[in-house]
Amino acid sequence: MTATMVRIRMRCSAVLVLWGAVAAAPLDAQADARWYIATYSSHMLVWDEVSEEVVDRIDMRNPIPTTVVMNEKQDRLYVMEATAQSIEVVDLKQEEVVDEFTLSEGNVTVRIQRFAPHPSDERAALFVKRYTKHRDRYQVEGPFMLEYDLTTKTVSDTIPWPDGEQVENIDFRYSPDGETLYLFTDDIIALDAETFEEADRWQISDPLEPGLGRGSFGVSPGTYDEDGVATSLYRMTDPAQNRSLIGIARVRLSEKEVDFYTLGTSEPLTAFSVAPGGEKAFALYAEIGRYEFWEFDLVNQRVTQRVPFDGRPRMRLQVSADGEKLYIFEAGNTIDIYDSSSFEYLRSVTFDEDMAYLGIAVIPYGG
Amino acid sequence: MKSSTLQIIGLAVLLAWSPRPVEAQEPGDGYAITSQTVIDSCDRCHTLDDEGRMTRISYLRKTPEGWQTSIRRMVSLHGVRLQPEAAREIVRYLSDRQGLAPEELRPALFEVERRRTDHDYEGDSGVEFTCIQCHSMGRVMTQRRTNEEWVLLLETHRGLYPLVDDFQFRRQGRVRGGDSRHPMDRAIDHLSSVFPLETSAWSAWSATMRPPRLAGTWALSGYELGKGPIHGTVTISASPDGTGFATSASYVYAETGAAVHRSGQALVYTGYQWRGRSNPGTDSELREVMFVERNQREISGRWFTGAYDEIGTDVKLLRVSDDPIVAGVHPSTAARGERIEARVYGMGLVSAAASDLDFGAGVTVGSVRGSSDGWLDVSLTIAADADIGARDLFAFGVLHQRALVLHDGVDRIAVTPETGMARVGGANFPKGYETYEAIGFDDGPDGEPETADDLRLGRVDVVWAVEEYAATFGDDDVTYIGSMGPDGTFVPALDGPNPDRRGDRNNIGDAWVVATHTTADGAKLRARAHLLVTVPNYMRFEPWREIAR
Repeated sequence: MTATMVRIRMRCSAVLVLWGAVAAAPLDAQADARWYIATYSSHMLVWDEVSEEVVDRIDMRNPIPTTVVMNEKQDRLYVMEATAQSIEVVDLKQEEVVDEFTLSEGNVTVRIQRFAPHPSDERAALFVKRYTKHRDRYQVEGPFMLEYDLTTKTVSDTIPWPDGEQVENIDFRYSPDGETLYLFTDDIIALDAETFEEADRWQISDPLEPGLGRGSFGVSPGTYDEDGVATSLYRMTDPAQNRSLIGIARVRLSEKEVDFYTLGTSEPLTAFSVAPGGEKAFALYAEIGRYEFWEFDLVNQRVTQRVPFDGRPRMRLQVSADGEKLYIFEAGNTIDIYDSSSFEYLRSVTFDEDMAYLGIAVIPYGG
Repeated sequence: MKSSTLQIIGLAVLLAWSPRPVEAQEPGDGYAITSQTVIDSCDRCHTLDDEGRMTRISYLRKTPEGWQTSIRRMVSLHGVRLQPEAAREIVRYLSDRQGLAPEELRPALFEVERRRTDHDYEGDSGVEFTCIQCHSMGRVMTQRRTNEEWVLLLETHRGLYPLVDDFQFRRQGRVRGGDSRHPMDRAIDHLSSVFPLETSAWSAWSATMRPPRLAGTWALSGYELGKGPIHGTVTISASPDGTGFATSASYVYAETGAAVHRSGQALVYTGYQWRGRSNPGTDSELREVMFVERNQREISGRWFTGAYDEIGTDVKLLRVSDDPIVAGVHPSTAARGERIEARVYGMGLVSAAASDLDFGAGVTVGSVRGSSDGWLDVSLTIAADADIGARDLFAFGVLHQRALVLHDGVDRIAVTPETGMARVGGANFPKGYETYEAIGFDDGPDGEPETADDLRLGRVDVVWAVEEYAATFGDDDVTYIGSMGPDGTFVPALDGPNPDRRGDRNNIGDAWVVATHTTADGAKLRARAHLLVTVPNYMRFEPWREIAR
């Protein structure tokens, strides 16, 4: 850690599990990666980075797979379909659907808004609403936070609302060891995954340290992040001069620890992505009609390149497994490929199907 | 953990996740349903109580269009099977028994007349914002419901369109201070208060409501966007079975003299809501939505067509009696020192001498050169030193205000509508057109533009063009969105992905519509308006008619 980096380690009053305590390095460059892409069709694409070919198609039981959630062991995908009523389980070894569950039945439609599998793959946390069509009226109930038993396909528990206040939107996920369920609200609340009693709370709604404004950062590790660490853009407003600043944060959720440094005034950056090896990262500057690749040197903590390119109105960014290419995609049937050093446009891959928003999982391999 | 504790927790889980029972409709308000057709068609789902009220149905009032939409939804989504005759009978019965009073409908006429208007709801801007994310506020203003029914209506929205919670119905974040209600709850409170089921206006109107007696001849005047004023007559006769009316309309476009004849049928709902069609089943079919005034001497509204009801004529009918009617003058403008041949439109315009027509100071009527039952042709000479401004016409004992506007030249032009919208179509969905007009203005006596004394001179001849409205760097919309016709009608391009456009984008975008007028002394006047070309309206309960290819 350099002198300019600020490490904030909140005092823990309760015991939190150490997340990824063994592994401590970012994922190095790999030989290849497989992309599992939900599409506006009845199948998912399996796309190989090196050959740039669709190597398989996974037939889904329901049309239009949308949201894709990968499990902790990275051997299965949980794929929600467009009506948000059922989740299909894709076994990645067989590359086929092996199971499916839904809470809808008869005149009752249960729509799943959030889904997080437990590392055991035996249960999951769900955020749902229930819509009942009676003879002459609809009845809408919820939202509910539920624990769902994936083996018996039944609701096994309800999860209490943080501070007893029902909210319309919440995100959550389990710790890798499955003992903690993190709820992401204004604060981060750690629940005991068995009893759902609050074990700890990270009050990120407060400034991380005296004299700073409230900051915002991501908590989900990227493809090439160190295990248990989420590297993301960090934004805060300087309370002294009311400046909006942007920087980079490394968050180790299990230890309630965030290291961050600022880089400059806030810019419309998005799609931050750490490269294999963890020394570089990329992001996209996106205003309508003006797009740039940004390259970050994470070792020396600075922006090293800003290169304009022909972007798209909606973009996601993924770094290739070997770190040599950048992929721009989302909301369409093409992936634009750029050189990650020169940022030169190389070519586009065109699929027969449009890709679904939020519907991609990437698994590097062969390192 | 002790087993009793576990049992308690298990019970709590069960209770939290267990569905709530459905509450019975609150007694009290509600209209008894006496139509056996309504009962037979609807009682599979809507329960009839001891007082003849049916759940849901008895607790709301709507326009004929509102009831028709409900029936279409029942047929489309809920498996109701209805013969067309039964559906028409149900709409008729419910519109008459549970409709809107004239005073209730008048502020929302734009909705049933299918006008594309930028309406500003004065009741509660927050509620308006909640509703207009998906549909016009007019849809809301043309309904009356009990509090429970407003609640159930919003539940129906959530049941059919779950994303409304995320878009607008439910507050996504925490509110610290202020109104912490979810937007949908605020809407329910407001709508229950301002649009309740029972009102004095409705009770008064429903007491005096009767079938209108409209048979006779009516003087027609109107204005068709893109084509200008129309004048003529409409003959209305009661249909033999006494349930509706037959119509025969003859009129001319004042600018071109083109003559039109139309025949059609109409029903009048709730004692005043005219709903008709002329030239049904033909390419020239028009829907008629008009409002019959309580004195039954005046009817006004809109005749329209187009996939989005976007092509239309504003019309006004005055009952013809022994008294003459002066409906309008064309041309309705003249320059100082000019001599023009004008036509006075109306009914009962018997042969007249020049002295019978008084256009006011500075206008000399030279001769009445021709006449028929519907018009008089007159020669007018405008004094070179006449004061500019509008002149009323007094003739045959009646006054027609602002019949002729005297001016000293076109000083500026304006393009209307200021913001237009077209929808791509022609491949899978029909096109939605937009029609622009260029209106000339004289700066008026003060010589200053955009002041209260400016004189509106009506449509002027212009050359149309479409220019880029650069919303993005390197914007290229004008290449793809469509083309502007010489008559001011924008014809949008095909719907669907365009492989010739970067990213296979649809042919949507926005542009400036630019009009250039050449004045009498050769000066060029320019004005422009915004045009948004957007996607088709993909979903509606009424099936799209097959498009002409």
